[in-house]
Amino acid sequence: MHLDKTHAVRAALSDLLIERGQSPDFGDTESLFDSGRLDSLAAVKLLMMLESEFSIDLGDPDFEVARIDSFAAILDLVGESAPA
Amino acid sequence: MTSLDLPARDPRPLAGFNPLRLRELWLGMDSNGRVLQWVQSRTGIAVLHAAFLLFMALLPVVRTKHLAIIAVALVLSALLPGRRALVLAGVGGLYFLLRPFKSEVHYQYFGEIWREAGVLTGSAQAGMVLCGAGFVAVVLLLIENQRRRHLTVLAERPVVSLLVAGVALTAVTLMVPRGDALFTLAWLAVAYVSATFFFIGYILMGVRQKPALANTTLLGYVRPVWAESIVPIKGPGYLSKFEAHDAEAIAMTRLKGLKLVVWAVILFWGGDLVFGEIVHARLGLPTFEPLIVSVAAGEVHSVALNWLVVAVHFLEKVLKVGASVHAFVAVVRMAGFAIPRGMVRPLASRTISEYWGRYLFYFKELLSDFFFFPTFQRCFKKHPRLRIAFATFMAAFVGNILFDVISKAPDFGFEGWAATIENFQSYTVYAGALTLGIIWSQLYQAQPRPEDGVFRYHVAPRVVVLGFFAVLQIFDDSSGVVPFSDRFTFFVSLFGVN
Repeated sequence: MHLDKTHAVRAALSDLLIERGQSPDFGDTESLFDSGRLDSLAAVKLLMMLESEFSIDLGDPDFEVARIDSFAAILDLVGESAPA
Repeated sequence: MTSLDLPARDPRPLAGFNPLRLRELWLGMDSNGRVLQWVQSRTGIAVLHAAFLLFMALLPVVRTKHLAIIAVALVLSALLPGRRALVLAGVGGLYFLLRPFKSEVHYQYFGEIWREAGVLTGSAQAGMVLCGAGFVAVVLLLIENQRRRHLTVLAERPVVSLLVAGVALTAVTLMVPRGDALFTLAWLAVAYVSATFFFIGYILMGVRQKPALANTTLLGYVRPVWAESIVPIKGPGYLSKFEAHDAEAIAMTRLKGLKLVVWAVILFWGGDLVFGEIVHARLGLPTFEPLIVSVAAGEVHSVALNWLVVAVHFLEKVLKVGASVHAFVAVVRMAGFAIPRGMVRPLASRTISEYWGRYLFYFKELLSDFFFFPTFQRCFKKHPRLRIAFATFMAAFVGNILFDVISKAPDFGFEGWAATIENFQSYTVYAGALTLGIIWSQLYQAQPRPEDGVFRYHVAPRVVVLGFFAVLQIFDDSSGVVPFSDRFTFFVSLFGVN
């Protein structure tokens, strides 16, 4: 299960980077959205994937979009920790 | 460093005069070990700051008084590196107290209000400092409420609460006669809220971030030293992610700042030389708005000339806006935050939504943060396309217009509702067309691929995108100086309709 989530998130981010003509590689804590590597449309696609695949409730008043800025932050959000 | 910045190159030794090699060395200096070491020395820091301020002074988009504030902040930050956050907050606070408003006309209104009120002091500047200090105290209360959640509604919906308060206060300025004490109080509150609305929004969004920022640091973002307009370069939470924490990282960030301000100078004066001196002055090509007025007055020009003027104005505007955006992002970098550029090769965009993100990155971020994502999180969750379309509508149309209305909120009390709103006719058309373009782009515009061929990958998508934004600029105006009817007449003349 742990690997499933980790792989799913990593694959989704890599696909988004490739779609935007970028290298699919990224660091665990590297900023992906705030840094401009990925745009808001990519954020939308990722959010919809997190909703459908991991049942994340985006309507929660405590949810902030800034929480998906890096791979590690996304894993934290879906209840996983980044691999060491 | 982001992937959208120019890539750093490994410098090679300089042999003879070679402009391309010089350019390479220049672009790679922030990753050149010897340069990095030198700019950490006292002499290096002094030369770097002097060069930066000199290039800033060459840009007419930077006002002299603002440059003085920027110079004080950067020099003090360099002298007191351990207290950089406090210095930036302190000078930012001073800047806010002295220059709190967006436009000159709001300073005139304030002067009239202050004279009419006739309290404490006759000096409008002293009054501004006094009112500004009172406003900062209110912002501090909002920050504390955000931390401790005394007033839950206000803490959970800080931006909406601020908007409701602003609307209510604006309504008071419309209903209560001028000269009444209630009008004076309401107008002062509206003036300060309108100039700082999105800055405060970002501050309140960043209050609960981890690690927590001190109140003094947060208050420095009510109007940070690099703020030129009412579009914040995001907020304290965002900037803290890009903060340089050691001497080498600061040196690298400052070099990026210097590179960017030099690029801004090249764009500004290069554009001025090509378009101002050659295209308009020597070749006699008409300028944009006078041409619109003349076409509306019945003068007939060839369709080709009208299109040429649209294209030239579009390029001029991209260069000038780019120079301005780069200059202020460069200040942020000199202050020690390695943030991405505010404009990144917009003319290379292949889709409308890509252009929108590349042209004014931080304005697009503002609309996303305050309008798009809050809508996307809550509305039409079971209808993906409608969900994206509606969130885009709320950002590109509602947010875009609301942004301009908020910035003009102090005008309502002086000019009245109708006179202020009628100038928005053209901008409403602009925002509507922009919204439709972005929605279409997000939902249906295919991202071209290299295998589609040179024309379908490099040429056609860019012609469509740049053509769309070039024509759209005809309506991008909320000043009302050239009325909507004139702009519409010019627009149809592009298609041979007179």
